[in-house]
Amino acid sequence: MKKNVVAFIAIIFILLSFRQVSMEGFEIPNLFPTPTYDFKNNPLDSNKIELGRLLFYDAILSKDNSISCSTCHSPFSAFAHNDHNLSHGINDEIGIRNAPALFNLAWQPTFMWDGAINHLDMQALAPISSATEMGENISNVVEKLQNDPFYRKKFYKAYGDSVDTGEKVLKVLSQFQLTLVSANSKYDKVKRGDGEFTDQEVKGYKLFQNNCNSCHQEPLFSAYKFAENFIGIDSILNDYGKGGVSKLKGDSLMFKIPSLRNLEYSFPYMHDGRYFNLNTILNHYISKETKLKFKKEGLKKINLSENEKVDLIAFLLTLNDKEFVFNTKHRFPRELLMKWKE
Amino acid sequence: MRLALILFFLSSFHLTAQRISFSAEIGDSAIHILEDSKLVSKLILYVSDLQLETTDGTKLKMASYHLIDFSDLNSLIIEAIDTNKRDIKSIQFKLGIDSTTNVSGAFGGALDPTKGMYWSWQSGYINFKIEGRVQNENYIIHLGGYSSPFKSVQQIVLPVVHQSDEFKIVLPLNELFEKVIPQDNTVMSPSLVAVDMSKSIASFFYLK
Repeated sequence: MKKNVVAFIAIIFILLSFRQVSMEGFEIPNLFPTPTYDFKNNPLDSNKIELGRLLFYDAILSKDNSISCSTCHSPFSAFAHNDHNLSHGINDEIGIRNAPALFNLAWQPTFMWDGAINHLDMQALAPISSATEMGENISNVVEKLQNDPFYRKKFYKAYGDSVDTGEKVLKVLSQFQLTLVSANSKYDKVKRGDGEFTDQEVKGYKLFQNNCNSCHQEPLFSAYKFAENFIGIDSILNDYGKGGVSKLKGDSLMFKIPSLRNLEYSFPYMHDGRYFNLNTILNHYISKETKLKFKKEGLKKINLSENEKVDLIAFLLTLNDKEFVFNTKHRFPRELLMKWKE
Repeated sequence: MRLALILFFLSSFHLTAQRISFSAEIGDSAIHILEDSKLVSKLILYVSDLQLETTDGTKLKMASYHLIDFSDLNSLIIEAIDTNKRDIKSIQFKLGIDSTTNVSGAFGGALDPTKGMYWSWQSGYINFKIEGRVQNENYIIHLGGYSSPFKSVQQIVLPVVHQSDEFKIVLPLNELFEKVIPQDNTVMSPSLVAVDMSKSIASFFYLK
């Protein structure tokens, strides 16, 4: 009898501790700085995260139920658009940019390649409203969700009120996306003392620190500032990046610096997806033309031998976070939809 | 004599409740936008940080954020506030949304993005929106922008000369047609022109 009581108490404790972990849903990885996102205005909650996940994977956000967030942000590509240089949306419309990978969003002060969006909560409005992405508007989305008994129930569970609003839709989408934390790559494990780099990776790490770290700062592998990548302007796309939004001369051709985490999964690269492999990018940065441009801008030029390129890429591949990419908590919420159908 | 008495009586009577209403007028008549309105088919603006300044210098807060939509009569009135028998020196408000709110994520109520007063392709509230057709030409003016040099929110101070229990704030549209729309009849993003237009429009408001 006594044994049973002890076991019962132990089970309760275990259940309680589980509950706490899932309620938080977010942990700042050891070496990461303080997040930029202000969680006070949108405290994470497991029901809200779940609702955000359902919406992220639901084409109900688009005008004709054809496009969901995951159409261009697939979990297996670290939430980028695998194999597509330019992302396509509703009616097979093609946009002007490569959909960026989504992870560690809580540390990013601006969104989009051109920084046009100033807050994660407001980010989803852009693809929802874009004629080449979802072709919808937030008012219609709110109305559609309001007319859907499944979502009314979910909103009630999350907010204690089945009435949804634009604010709630945007905030639950933020909640799910905030849980997309990538901090379990080999690099992270080595830093935590749970692994070791190979000799080649050590060499590559040094090359990285000497040549790449000023823009792609550890541990996020981007300071999420803006810089010119000197790949030149595509005459069809005519994309001037941040300058196109701010209309300030100094911002012309400035693009948000992407993180180097999960590169293996998130190809192609650059804002217009013109490079399909890492070697091509390195060749671009060590090319004569780029060196001249770097010199003109007063930047330290990058020199890499053939062997050094191989070493550097070996290090960059230690930033792949397989656990993140295959995390079932981030995937299409089949289990949640199955429950509903039963 | 009798009229003088009534006036005397009225002036000595300190009112305690205060209401504010908004009106957009062409000539002397207030417009109400209906579905088939052509000259002005849409007129929506944000009033924020609305305060009454009393003669003793106190500021009484009335509304943090209020969406004024001239197709919705209910939105034109801002609820009464108790002034505790004090005289009002001025009415102060911002035309638009302050920069901090613009960079602080999603909000509900008057600030909910479903109100159609938030840009989607670029973050930021639309402070003032007017659309319609004048002299057989369409115009569409969406004013906003929260960061320098395109910060377009405007502080407005309207001095009160005569005390009343309801102040009517008027936006004379003739001025807009004469001085703003001829500058550019299509403005839909933050720009210096948008800032200039916002300043002009802020200067048009008066108390009736």
